[in-house]
Amino acid sequence: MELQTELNFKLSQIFSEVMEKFAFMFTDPTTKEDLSDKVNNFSSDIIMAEMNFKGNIKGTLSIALPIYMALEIGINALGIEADQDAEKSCAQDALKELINVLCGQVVILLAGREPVFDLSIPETHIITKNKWTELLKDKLSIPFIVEEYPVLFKLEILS
Amino acid sequence: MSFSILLVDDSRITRSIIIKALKMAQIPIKEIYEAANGREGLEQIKNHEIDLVFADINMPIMNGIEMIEKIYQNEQLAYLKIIIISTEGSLERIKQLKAKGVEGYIQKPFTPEQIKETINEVMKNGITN
Repeated sequence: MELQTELNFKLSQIFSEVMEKFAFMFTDPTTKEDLSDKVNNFSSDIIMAEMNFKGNIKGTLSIALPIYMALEIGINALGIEADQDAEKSCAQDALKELINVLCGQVVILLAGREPVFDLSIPETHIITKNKWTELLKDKLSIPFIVEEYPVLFKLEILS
Repeated sequence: MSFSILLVDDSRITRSIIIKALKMAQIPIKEIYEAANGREGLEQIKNHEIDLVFADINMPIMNGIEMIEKIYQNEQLAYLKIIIISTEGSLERIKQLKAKGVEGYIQKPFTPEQIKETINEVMKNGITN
């Protein structure tokens, strides 16, 4: 198996496991073509989270998904009713924590359990449809459907 | 015996998930206090009688490691049991934290069973010590 394909397979496993355990959501594999169609059906903004890790390997992890999905994760975790004022911060908080958990698992995949990594504080921002399309076309991004929501997950190893 | 528990994590989501897990694991709880960083955690410890602390490592303002160092610099707080709940799973990091006095370590994502097992280990050690 080609190295990138093998890595993507393992990243997909991690992503699915974390989604199940952390967000109680189930993941379906998909293709970038399918995802491209799906995203057009969503009126929701797309939110992106990024996080850096630095140890014997350095890199960036990113995830992009509809803000409604991040909000659903947050609302489920908090057990609250959707509240307009709380919506944005709840979605951001949920997505930051999701990428944080993913990053912990990804560094173990890349370097094992021995080395210590410095993990940055995750950052989130709303992205445009153009940025989403750019990410979709990126060879490193992996597409998922999570409970009907389109999701892109990307690992970039810098050194 | 029921416990007064302090949760120190910058994510409100994670604090909420830990509370749910504690309830699902049927941990006897007297009181739950929350803090969003190490500095707030130290304030809560100063103001309340806490038996057990769940703390994250990677937090803004004051991270979990700084908070733990400050707790154990104070001899009056030496009784305090600390369990780290973190995304980090490095064995070296766990070794470093145990050397600082941390008694339990749980990697995210976690299950209520893991929480229960770790509390049992940590609080049992506390009783036998």
